Amino acid sequence: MSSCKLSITDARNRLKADIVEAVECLHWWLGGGIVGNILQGISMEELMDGSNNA
Amino acid sequence: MGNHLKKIHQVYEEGEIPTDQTTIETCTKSTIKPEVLRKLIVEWIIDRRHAFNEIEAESFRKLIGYIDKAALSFIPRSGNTVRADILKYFAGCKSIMRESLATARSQIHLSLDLWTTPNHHHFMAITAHWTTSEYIAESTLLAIREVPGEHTGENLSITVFEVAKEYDIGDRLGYFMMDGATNNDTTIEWLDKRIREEGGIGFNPKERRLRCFGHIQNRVVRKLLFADKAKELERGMKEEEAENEAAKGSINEKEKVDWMEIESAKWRALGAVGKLHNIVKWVRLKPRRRSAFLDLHLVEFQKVDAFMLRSDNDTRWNSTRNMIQSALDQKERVAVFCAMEAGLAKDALTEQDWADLREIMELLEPFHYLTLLEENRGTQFGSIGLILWGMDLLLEKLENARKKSRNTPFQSAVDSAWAVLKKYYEYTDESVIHVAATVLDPRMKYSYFDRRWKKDWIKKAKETMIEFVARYREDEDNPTSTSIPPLAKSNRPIDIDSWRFGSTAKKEDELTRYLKAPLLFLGTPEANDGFDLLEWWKGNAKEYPTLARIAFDIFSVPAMSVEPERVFSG
Repeated sequence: MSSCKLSITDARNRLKADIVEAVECLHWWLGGGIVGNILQGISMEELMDGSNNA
Repeated sequence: MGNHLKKIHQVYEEGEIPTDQTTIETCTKSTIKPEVLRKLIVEWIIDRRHAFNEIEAESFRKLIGYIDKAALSFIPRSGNTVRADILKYFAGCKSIMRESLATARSQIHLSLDLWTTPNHHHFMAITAHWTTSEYIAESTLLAIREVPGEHTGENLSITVFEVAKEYDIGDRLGYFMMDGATNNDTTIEWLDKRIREEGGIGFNPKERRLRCFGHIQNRVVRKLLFADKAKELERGMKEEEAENEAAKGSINEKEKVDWMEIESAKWRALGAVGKLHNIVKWVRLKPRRRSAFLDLHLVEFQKVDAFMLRSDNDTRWNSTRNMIQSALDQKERVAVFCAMEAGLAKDALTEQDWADLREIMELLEPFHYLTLLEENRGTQFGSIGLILWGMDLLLEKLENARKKSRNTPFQSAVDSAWAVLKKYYEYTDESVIHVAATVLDPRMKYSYFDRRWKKDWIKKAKETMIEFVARYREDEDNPTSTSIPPLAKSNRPIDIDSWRFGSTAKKEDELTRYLKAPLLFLGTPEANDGFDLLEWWKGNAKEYPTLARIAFDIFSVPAMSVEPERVFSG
């Protein structure tokens, strides 16, 4: 497999894997596309409700 | 302590209503909704990848407090709260993503990319690709997981399986786009096994495992540039490592120079490209050299503005192409500079070297062109259909180059590049998707094969295609999922359709009808470039429902897996 050396900062390396995933996925999703469009009109509370239903 | 903070600094826990009269007044006047503010903070942190404790900075709080005093009380006090908010926000977004995936018109394809961080952690990025309910080819990052233990297919498949379950796509997985490593083969085999073990239908691993066209081209071009000598470069210490070791004091200045000399000798042995690599490295290393290069003033140079030579790296072959181009564009400058600098005596390029560089540029041209096309994700060029004709094109170019390079220094490079491409070309036989993507382009159908392929290959391709369509038909006749509504039985007293249009039983099957219809002809290159396959199949889905289903499935498969650079792109 490719082993690209990414220039992730040391600070990010120390972060736990789950938060890395959250930040990187959100970065992609908020950048536009399907989720980005839906999110425009949703409040934080609704989002947290969504997580409870899942 | 808490009371002290509240009294002196007016600090409140989240959601706590301040008791101080003036603050309540500001609160009621203010239109700020705390949950909106919290959401915006998360979005701001994510957008610029700020540190979570950015909101703790006194300067930041002063700024917010100045704009709106009440707002300040809603800003979390600690980075940990922001972290928790991000995780909650992510969980909410994830369920939106799950709902979006549920409305897909296609299977969900995955590309899997592995990489290692500088401090040796292994991560896998899983990206999904599908056709949306609006008939658009969409891609999105689903997960980034640290892979514990060995990078075996068995291990990797556990992670993929988990993520598929989290997004409810385990029974709708389509194709898998990955690089050529063999553990990727076993990952898909194991994934199929795990799905079956849990009662799922599974799939044919060989057919679903696809090889990233970007990686293939990278391997072929490396052969083209360095023949079989590229491995030499991977042995021993690299220049950067020598620099680091020297900075740490673990090797002295003389040892460092020795390392560098060994390294550049290796590059030099590779020929013109290797020598140019040394020149570029040397020029860029010291500010004095950079300005000496750029300030070199001779009348003839006025034609071309001086610019810094670009450096190459070992992950992307395009960087080597850019390096060569940057040297060819200012050949006189490079030549004079090399003649002036004693440190470059061994690497000075001869006329033959320059001719070689031009030759290499010509060989790289089709690769470069295809790469530019592939980068148009979400279009026909970014999708799987490109791979077959793209490989055919590269094979032909390399075959011509082989004839031309016989008994020249390029012979072994071109031969081994051709051999690598040939090997990957043979892999395309293992998945029907490449044939299907060609046939289902209404501008090509079988005509492409008739023009370019041998008779026995065409026969086999046609058989594979018929069998592929039959599998989709079988699925429709015995629907296993609720997504395909059963056909309503006609209860008309008179079968007026047969009266008007003839018996449906006599009609030929879909594939035959599709193939008999004339090829779609678009008159201009612009019209061909802008042609949207998904749009066309959306418009023709009534006439060819089964073929359209196949088209929605396969034309959302990308030609390349997603580079980690893109996953982490700023």
